[in-house]
Amino acid sequence: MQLENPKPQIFQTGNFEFSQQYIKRKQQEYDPEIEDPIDEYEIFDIIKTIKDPEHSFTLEQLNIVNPNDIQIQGNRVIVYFTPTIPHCSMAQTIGLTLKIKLMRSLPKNYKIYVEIKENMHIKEIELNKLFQDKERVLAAIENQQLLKIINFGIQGIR
Amino acid sequence: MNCQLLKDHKERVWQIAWHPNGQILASCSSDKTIKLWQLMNDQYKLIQTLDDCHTKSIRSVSFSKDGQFLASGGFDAVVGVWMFDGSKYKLIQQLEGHESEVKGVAWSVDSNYLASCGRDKTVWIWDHDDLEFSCNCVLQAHDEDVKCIKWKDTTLYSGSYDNSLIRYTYGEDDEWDHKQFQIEHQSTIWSIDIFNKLLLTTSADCTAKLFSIQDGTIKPIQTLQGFHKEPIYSGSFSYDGLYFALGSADNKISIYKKDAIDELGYPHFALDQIFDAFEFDVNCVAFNPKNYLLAACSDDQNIKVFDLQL
Repeated sequence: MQLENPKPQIFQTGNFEFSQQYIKRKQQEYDPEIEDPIDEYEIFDIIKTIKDPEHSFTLEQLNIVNPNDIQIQGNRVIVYFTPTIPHCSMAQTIGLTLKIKLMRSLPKNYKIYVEIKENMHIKEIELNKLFQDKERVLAAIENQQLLKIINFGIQGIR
Repeated sequence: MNCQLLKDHKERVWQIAWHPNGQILASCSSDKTIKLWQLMNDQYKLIQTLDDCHTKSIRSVSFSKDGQFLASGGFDAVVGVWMFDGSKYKLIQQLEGHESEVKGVAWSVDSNYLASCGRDKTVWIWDHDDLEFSCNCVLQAHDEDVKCIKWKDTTLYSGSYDNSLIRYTYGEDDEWDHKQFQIEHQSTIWSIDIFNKLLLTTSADCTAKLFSIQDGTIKPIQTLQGFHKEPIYSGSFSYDGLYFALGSADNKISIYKKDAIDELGYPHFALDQIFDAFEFDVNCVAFNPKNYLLAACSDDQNIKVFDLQL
């Protein structure tokens, strides 16, 4: 099969670990006096190992997801992702995989939004609407073929 | 507020529907079953579980207006038809034809027609002769998934992922004619309910809209916005049309009361109450056809029947 983006750029992983915010959070983690709500780093930890549907790299390695593009407001989690190329036909699979992994991993009362980062894909509006449609997302995981692809992505690379 | 909890489904409950006598409630779920609950001594008791039709999530369920039939639609693309034999509902036919998920089923008022809609962008009209159901016609007028359908007498309305509403009428040329209406919803239309000449739509744009339907026109009356912060999956009029309820993915249910009639004779509704109904998304709300009991169901696998004491 012809790869759409045969030589994707690979990024250094774990850069965020040097940010002041992350260092402070790490220090607080062991302090029993301080509450640790689910934050963007915890969300990132869940999604960073997902395997790209096309390449043998993780979404973190391809910079498709990063902690700066995750927002949390109470029990609302919004993950923005950046496809490697604006016409990437894998964007739908990546979005569904992100959404389904988060649905499985987070407490059930969380509202999860997965969106393509602004101006990063030619079908951005169309795909964002799909990721928001609960019925379509849930029907996708009842489709054995699609579920296999999604589970393979979730299985990831560690 | 008095509320009864109906607990037996093993997965999210997608939809609920009242029997026209107001005594039986049907619910359908991702657990691939339909459950029937009957009011006995002020308590809802599970009287029947229908699990012999669908192999995937059951998305929609509907009683015919005479209570003789029950229909269901599932993600397995099948429409199920059950008939009441005097003591129980029994599966009489599985209607195949949809290419992918069925998202809505609805009976015409005279029970002569059953309509179904789905992700394949079509609406199917089924009719029956000697209890043998067959396809009357397939209508493809939407550009995207058809999410919901509702009959008003022999006219059918559908709402879609393409944000539009379509009306189908059976013309003098023995064909189904359709007309599409862009009713200014900014996203998917998730539900339609009708009371007399009032039509209510709810949408993923977090608003609900009220329209007057008469003389072949659809005239906007009111937009309800700012009350819910997530998609509104369902809306339902009370039996007397004095109230309607909305159920949303923000876990809340809101109730609106008719509070004025404008100079053109159109009613306006005002918020009566809004409350946290479940811990997860409210997928469907349905007012009882005889009283002010409101049934609702959620992703948390439960059904609640609220006595609103309006």
